[in-house]
Amino acid sequence: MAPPPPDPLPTQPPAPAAPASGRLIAGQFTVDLARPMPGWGAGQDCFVATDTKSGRADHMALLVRRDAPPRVQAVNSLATMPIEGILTPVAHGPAMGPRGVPAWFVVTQAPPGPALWGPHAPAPVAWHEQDLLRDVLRPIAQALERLQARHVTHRGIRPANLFRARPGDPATLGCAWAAPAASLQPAIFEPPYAAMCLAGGRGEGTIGDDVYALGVTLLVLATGRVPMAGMDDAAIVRRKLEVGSFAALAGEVRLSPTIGDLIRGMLAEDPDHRPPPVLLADPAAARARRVAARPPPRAQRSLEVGPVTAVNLRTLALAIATAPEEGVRQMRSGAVDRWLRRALGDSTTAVQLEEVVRRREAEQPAEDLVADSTMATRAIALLDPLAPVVWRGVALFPDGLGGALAGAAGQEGERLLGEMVAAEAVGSWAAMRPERCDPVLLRVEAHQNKQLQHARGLGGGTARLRYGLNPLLPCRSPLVGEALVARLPELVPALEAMAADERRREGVPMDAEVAAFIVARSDVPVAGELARLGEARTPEAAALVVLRLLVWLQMRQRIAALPNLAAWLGSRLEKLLDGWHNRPLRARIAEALAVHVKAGALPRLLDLLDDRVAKDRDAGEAAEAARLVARIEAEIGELEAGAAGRAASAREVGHEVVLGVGMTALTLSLIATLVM
Amino acid sequence: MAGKVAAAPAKARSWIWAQGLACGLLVATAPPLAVTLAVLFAPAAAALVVAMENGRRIGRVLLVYGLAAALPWLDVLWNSARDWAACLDLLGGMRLVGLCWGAQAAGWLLAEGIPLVSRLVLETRVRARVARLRDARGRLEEEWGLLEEGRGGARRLAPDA
Repeated sequence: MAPPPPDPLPTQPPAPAAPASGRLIAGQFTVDLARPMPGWGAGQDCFVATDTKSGRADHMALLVRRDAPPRVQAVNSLATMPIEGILTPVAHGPAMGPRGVPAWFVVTQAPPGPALWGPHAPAPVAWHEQDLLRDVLRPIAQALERLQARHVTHRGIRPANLFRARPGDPATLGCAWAAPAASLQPAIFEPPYAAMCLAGGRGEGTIGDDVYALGVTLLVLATGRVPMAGMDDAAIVRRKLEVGSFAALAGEVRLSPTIGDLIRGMLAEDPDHRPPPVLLADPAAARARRVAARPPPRAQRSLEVGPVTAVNLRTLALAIATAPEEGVRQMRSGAVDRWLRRALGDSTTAVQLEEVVRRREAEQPAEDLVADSTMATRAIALLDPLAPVVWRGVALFPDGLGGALAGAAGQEGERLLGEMVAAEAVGSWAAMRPERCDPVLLRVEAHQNKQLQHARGLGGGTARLRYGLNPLLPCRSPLVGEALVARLPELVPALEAMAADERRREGVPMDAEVAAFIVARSDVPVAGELARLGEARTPEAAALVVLRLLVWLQMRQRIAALPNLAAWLGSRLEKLLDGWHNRPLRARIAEALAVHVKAGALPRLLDLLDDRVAKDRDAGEAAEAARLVARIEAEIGELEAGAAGRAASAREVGHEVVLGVGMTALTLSLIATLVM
Repeated sequence: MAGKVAAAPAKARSWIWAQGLACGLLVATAPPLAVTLAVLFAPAAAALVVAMENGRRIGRVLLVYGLAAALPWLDVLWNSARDWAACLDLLGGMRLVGLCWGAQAAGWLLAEGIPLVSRLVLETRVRARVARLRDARGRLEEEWGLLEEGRGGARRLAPDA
C-alpha cells in the first residue's frame, strides 16, 4: 500500500466547535461541511459532526458515495450498542452534502488521535514486538471478538484505519460500515480470494478475513513498510495464490519468531486455519496453535492459460477466472485434464473436472456462451473451493452481489452481473463446494434473484435487484436529479421538484430506475402495475399508469398537492380525452382537468380520467348513437331511392280513386235510371 | 312453370274472342246502336288502344265515366237501336255525345290529375321526413363526434380537419 500524500491539515481530532449547519441526522447530529477531515475517514470523505444534545463536535460524519451504499445491518446493529475499541456508528441519515448536493452520512465517534499510518501519522518505523502485541494485536483482537459476538465483521482493518491518541495507547479500529464491506481495502490487506473480487462484491466475509487483514497490518507495522509495494492488484493476487500469502508478503522479511509465527497463522489461505480473535487476545496461545496446512502441490511444468501461468490448482483456478474463454477452450480440448494428470499428478481432480466438462457437453449445444461460462464457474469452484463466484472475469462472493451491482450500475459489469444472475451461477458455484456453504440456501437465493431480475416490464432487471439488495442505495434515475432518494417517501417530492423545470418534462415521470426503486422499496406489490406501464402502447396510456402509481404514492404519503407533476402528466393525458365520445361531456372533463391540474390534485385527475364505469357508459351510448345514425342513413337512402316507387304508387292509387268515383257515379246513374 | 306462362296469353285471348263476339253480335243485330255506341265511347276505345300501361286503366276509367253519363239515355238508345234515323238524330243532337264525351274527359282529367296530386302529397311528406332525419343525424354526429370518427367503417374527416 502506498502511503497517501501528506496532508497539511491538523493531526489531532477537530476540537469542539459551533454547531454545524445542515439537516439533523437522526434528529441529533449536524454535519459541518466547512470542517472536512481529510485522511480520517479511511478512504471516505468525512466532516466534523456535532451532537446537538451535548453541543460537542466530537463526532465524525462519513460521506457515503452514491454508488457504494453503507452496510445497513451492521450499522443498525452497532448503533444500538457501541463496542469498545471501535469507532462504532451512532447514527446515519441524509443531510446536505458538499456543493449543495444532499448525501447520506454515517456518524461515528471521532477518532482518539491520528491513524497509525497515513498523512497524519508519524514517519513509518518498524514497531517493537511488545508494542505491537500490547497496542495493536490485543486490543484489536478483543474488538474483533466483540464484533464476532454481534455477528458483524469489520473488513476495513489496515494501519490507516487504526487510531490512537498517543504512543502507548491501545489502537482503536476505525469505521468500515459506510461503504460495502472491504470495498475500500487495498488488495494487499485482503485474502487473495476477496482481493480478486469487484470492490463492492467482496461480501461481509468472516471474522477470519479480519484476522487476515490484522495479520497484514501487523506485518506492515513490524517492518515499517508495505510489502509488495508497486505491484498491481492482479499481480498481488497471483503471487499470493502462487506461493501462499505469508510467503508472498513476508517471504524475504526478517521477523521476530513470535510475530512471524503469529502472522503465518493469520495469513493462512483457509479462513478456518486462521486463529480466532479470542485466541489472538493471548498471543502466546495463538502462536502455539499451529494448523497443519500443507502447501498446495506444485506442478512439474506450468500451464499457460491466457496471461496467467498455472503452477498449482489455485493458480489454475485464477487463470480460468482471468481468461475464461481460453480456460474453457483448454478444458474442452482436454489440455487441462492432461496437465492435471501428468504435470500435477492429481487424477482425482482431473476426473471431477472431466465430469464437469462432460456435463456441459451433454446439456448444451456446442456454441453456448452461457453454458461455457457456467462450466468455468463450476471448474473454478472445483479447483479452488475457497475462490469466489467467477462469471466471465467478474468475481464476487454471493453476499456481495448487492454492493457489486451498486458499483457497476450503468457499466459493462452490470450486464455481466445480470448474466450471472440469470444463469444462477451462484447455485452452480455452491453445488461444487457444499462443504463450505449451504448449497440449498444459496441455490434458493440465486433462483429468487433470477425471478426478481426477470420480472416483466419496468420494475425488473438488474435495477430491481440492485435496489432490492441495497436498502439504502439512492435512486439513480435522472428524473430525480441530484436529490437523494434512498427511501420511498423521498421519491415523490424529488420528482415534483424536478418537474418544476418544464424543460425536463420529457416522456413520463417514470423510468426503469424509478420503477425498480418503487418495486424494491414498496411493501405492497406494484409490479403488475409497472408491467402494464411496459405494455402501454401509447404515451397517454403510459402516463395514465404513471398517474395511478403517483396517486398511490401521494395518498400513501399524504402529500396535499403536486402541481408540477400534475402539469407534466396533464399535458400527456390530454389525448386521453379523445377516448370520450360525447363532445359536451369531453368539454366538461377538459375543463375539470385544467382545474385539477392547476390544483395539483392527482387523485382527482385519476378519478376523472380513469372512470371505467363512465367510459363504458360513454362507449355504449356512442355505439348506440352510431347505430342510430346508421339506421337514419339507411332510412334516408330508402326514402331517396323510393321516388319512382312512390310515383307508381301514387298513379295507381290515383287511378283506383278515380275508378272508384266513376263506379260510384255509374251505380248512382244506374239507380237513377231504374227509379225513373 | 312453362305451362303457367303459356296459359296466361290463352286466357287473354279468350276475353278478346268474347269481346269480339259481343261486338259482332251487336253489329249484326243492331247496327245503329253499334254505331251510336262506337261514337259515344270513341275516346274510351281510343284510350284502351293507346294507353295500354297498367292494364289499360285509363281506358277503363273513361269507359266507366262514359257509361255513367250514358246510362240515363238507355231507353232512348234501346228505342233507336234499329232505327238509323233516330240514331242519327240522337248523334246529331250532340247532347248525348257531348255529355258522354264530357264525362269521359272529366274521367281522363281526374285519372291524370289525382295521381299527380297524390304524388305531390307523398313527396312533400317524404321530404319533410328526410329533413327531420338529417337534422337528427347532424345532431347525433355533432354530439358524438361521428364525423371525425367515421361511419360505416369509412373515416370521414371533419370539414376543418
